Parts: sequence; structure tokens; C-alpha cells
Amino acid sequence: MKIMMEKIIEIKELQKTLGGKEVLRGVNLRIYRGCTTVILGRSGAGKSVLLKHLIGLMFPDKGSIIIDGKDITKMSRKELLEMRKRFGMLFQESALFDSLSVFENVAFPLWEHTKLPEEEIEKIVKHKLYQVGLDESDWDKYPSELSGGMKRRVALARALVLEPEIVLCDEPTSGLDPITAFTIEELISGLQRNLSKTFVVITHDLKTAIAIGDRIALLEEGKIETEGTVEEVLKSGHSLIKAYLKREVLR
Amino acid sequence: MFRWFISQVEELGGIGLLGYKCLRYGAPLRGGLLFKQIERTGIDSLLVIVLSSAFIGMVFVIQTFYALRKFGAESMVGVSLALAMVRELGPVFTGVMLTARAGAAMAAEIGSMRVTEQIDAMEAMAINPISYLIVPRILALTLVSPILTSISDFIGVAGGYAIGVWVLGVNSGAFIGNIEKYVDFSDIYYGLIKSCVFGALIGLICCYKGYSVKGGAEGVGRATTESVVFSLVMILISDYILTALMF
Repeated sequence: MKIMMEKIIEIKELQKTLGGKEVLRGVNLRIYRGCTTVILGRSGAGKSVLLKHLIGLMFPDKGSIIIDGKDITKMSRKELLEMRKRFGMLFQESALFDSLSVFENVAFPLWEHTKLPEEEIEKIVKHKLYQVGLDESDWDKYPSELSGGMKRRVALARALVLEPEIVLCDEPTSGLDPITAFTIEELISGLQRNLSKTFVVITHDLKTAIAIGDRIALLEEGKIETEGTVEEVLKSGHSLIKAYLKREVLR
Repeated sequence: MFRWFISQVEELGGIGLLGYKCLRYGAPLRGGLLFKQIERTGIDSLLVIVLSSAFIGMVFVIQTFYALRKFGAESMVGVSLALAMVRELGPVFTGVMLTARAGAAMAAEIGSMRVTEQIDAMEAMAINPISYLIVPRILALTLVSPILTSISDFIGVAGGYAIGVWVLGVNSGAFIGNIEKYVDFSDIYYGLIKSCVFGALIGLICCYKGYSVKGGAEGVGRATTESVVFSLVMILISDYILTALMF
């Protein structure tokens, strides 16, 4: 277990109301550099909303998100765009571009943000696709021809292609069968170990949280109920963790 | 009724805001994407516009021929068709066909990208969707619309000529001579200006409807229908305003 305590993101008193419902009710959380922090919570707890705030896709009603000393809620549009280049994001339904092939989806951020020659881009994309376990026969396929697990792999390769410092994963295993979910968990924890990047993963599945997390933050009704290393959270005695564990035992 | 009125004002505000964002954040202009959109909207809509324009011209001549014959003015059938085509029918029918063919497809495509988080993914990659998705589409429709209108004008008059001269027996020289005599250059370019405005409106409305979709597949369907209805209404309203101002 890594104990790296240099904070990279600090969320302070984050509040957000959507459609008259208080989704986030004063979230406080620290994300540490080089760690995988899993935000665990039930459906509707506000996990995806919280994740979208981290990358500036949503803005809070109150509170701040400090990344390396800068509050992203107060950034100009230009600063926000620059800051987003430090992030890679894996979306829940992969969010691959329908009109682009697997190769083009992964190459897309490089075409947009670098002036690298095409041969160099090809080399990087191939490397990333190999890293997530996709072989050449899949590269010309379009997203509609891929299985759910393959889509997540491509989306992960795309999220990593610009070598971001922070990788955000929105429910990386949801909707996948247990075997594919396991391989995706293995892939994420393997990549985190090898690349030493900061991962923030949200999930409703305690098993996934334990498999890939260094730290767990339990989000319930728009607030962080408990937070710490995996062991600390499991031993916390929080009623929701007990309920999760009971469910796992029953399984 | 009041609520409906407020929601329509909100829609107009949203469309205006998207237009402002296109001007403010639309750069850099992506030539490759613009060309692709011109190809898609222009070439894909060409056949349906050629077909509909030919039939509009033919029907117009049949209808006006019988009306004009009562006054012994059959020779004026060509010029009435040409003026109607370049000033009104060409731009408006091209706008209608572009809305049905290209605008609806744009709203559905962008809407589906919105609900599957592809637009969020683009933003998360620090790529501006306004510059990447919206501006090339609006610009393509603005540029393609007058070109298609010119084709529509020509085909409409040609269709009318075929029926008027070959079937109804109007004198060919009178048909063409009167067009040359009575149709001013200003009639043509005012029509083309109208078509540019229609193209921009269709692009803006359809992109806005797609971009602001909420509620999954059902929302995409609703947005597509609304984009067509709203575009058609706005074409007719702006047509009246422009016609009153220009002619």
C-alpha cells in the first residue's frame, strides 16, 4: 500500500443544487498525488456530478476545487481549457465518437493538441492500444462494432493518450459482466501502478473500490461520510459500509 | 399560453446566446470540417432540391398560364415564374428542403452526441465543441444555401420553360425575352441574401436544439421535430421581414 500524502486536489464545501434537489451538500475531500481515490456511493448520491465538477464540466453553487493551489471554479475559460489538458476522463458509457474508428478516437486528442508528425501519432496510439490490450484487428472498427468491455478499453486509451497527470473514471465497470469488469479493474490498477498517475474513480461497487483503490471516500446524500485508506474505511463501522459488506457476504 | 410564450422567448434567447458563443468562441475556423459539412449538406440535398424545384416551376406555369390567358397575357408566364422563383420560391423552398434534409440530421446527430456524453468528452479533452461541431455546420448551411438557391432558381425556370413552351405552346422568345427584360439583377441577389439568412437560421436553430437536448433518445426525437418546426416557422417569419425590407 502506497502512503503518498501530497495533495493534488482539494475540494472544499462543494454545494450544488440541480432541478431543486440538493445533489452536493458541502463535500470536503482531498485527492492525493499518485494514489487511486475511489468515491463510493449509491446511485443518485451525486458521484457523477462531483466528478464533472473536478474537470469543470459543471460549476458549483458554493465551494471551491483547488488543484495545485488554483481554484478551478474561479478560472477563466482559457485557464480552464489549459487545466483540462492535465486530466484524462473515462466516461460511464465510454463516450467514444461514433463517426471515428478506434484508432481515430485515440488519436483525436493528439491531432487536436499536438503538432506531432503523423508517424509519431501512429506510434503513440498503437502503444496506448497495446497497453489496454487491444490488438491491430480492432483498430479500424467503429464504436458500434465493439463490445462494452472493448469500448471501455478504447476510452481508457483515449483518456491516457496525452499522458495526463490525473485520470478520472466514471463507473468504469458498470454494466459489464463480472469477468469483463474484473479485467477492467485489473487494467486500471495495473496502469496506475505502472504509470504512477493520480486516479479518481467513482463506483457504486465496493468490490471494485477494494480492487483498485488506495483510498476510499464514501459519498452519501451529497456529503462525504467517511474517508481514508481502504482498511480504515472498511474498519470504520459506518452503517453503509456494513450494509455493503453484508451484501458481499450474502453473494 | 403565457407559459408557452415564455418558453418560446427562452428558446429564442438560447439560440441568440449560441450565436453569440459562435462569434466569441468559434475560432479557429476548421477548414476540413467546414468542407466536409458543405459536402454533406450541399451534395446530399442537391437531388431533392433539383427535383422539387423542377416540379414547382412546372406547376407554377400551369397555374399562372390559365390565369394569364384570361387577360391575353400568356407571354408573361415566363417572367412571373422567374420573379417568383428568384424572389420567393427558390430561397424559401431551398430553406424548407435544407431544414428537412440537413437541419433535422444535424439536430439528431448533435443531440445524440449530447446524450451519449460525446460532447462532454470533447470538453473534457479541452476541445471547444462550439468551434468543432457548431460553427462548421452553421457556416456550411449559410454558404450552401445561396448556391442551392441559385440551382433551384435555374431548375425551376427550366422546368417552367419545358411545360410552358413545349406543352402549353407559349412562344419561346417571349418566355425568355420577358425574363431578360423584367427581371433585375437586384431581384436575384436579394433572393440570395434571403437564402443566406435562412441557411444561417436553420443551422443555428438545429444546432441549438441538438446541443441543448435533455432526456435520452426521447429527447433527441423531440429536439429533432422541434428543430424542423421552429426552423420552418422562423424561415417564414424572417422571409416576411426581409421581403418587406428589401423589395
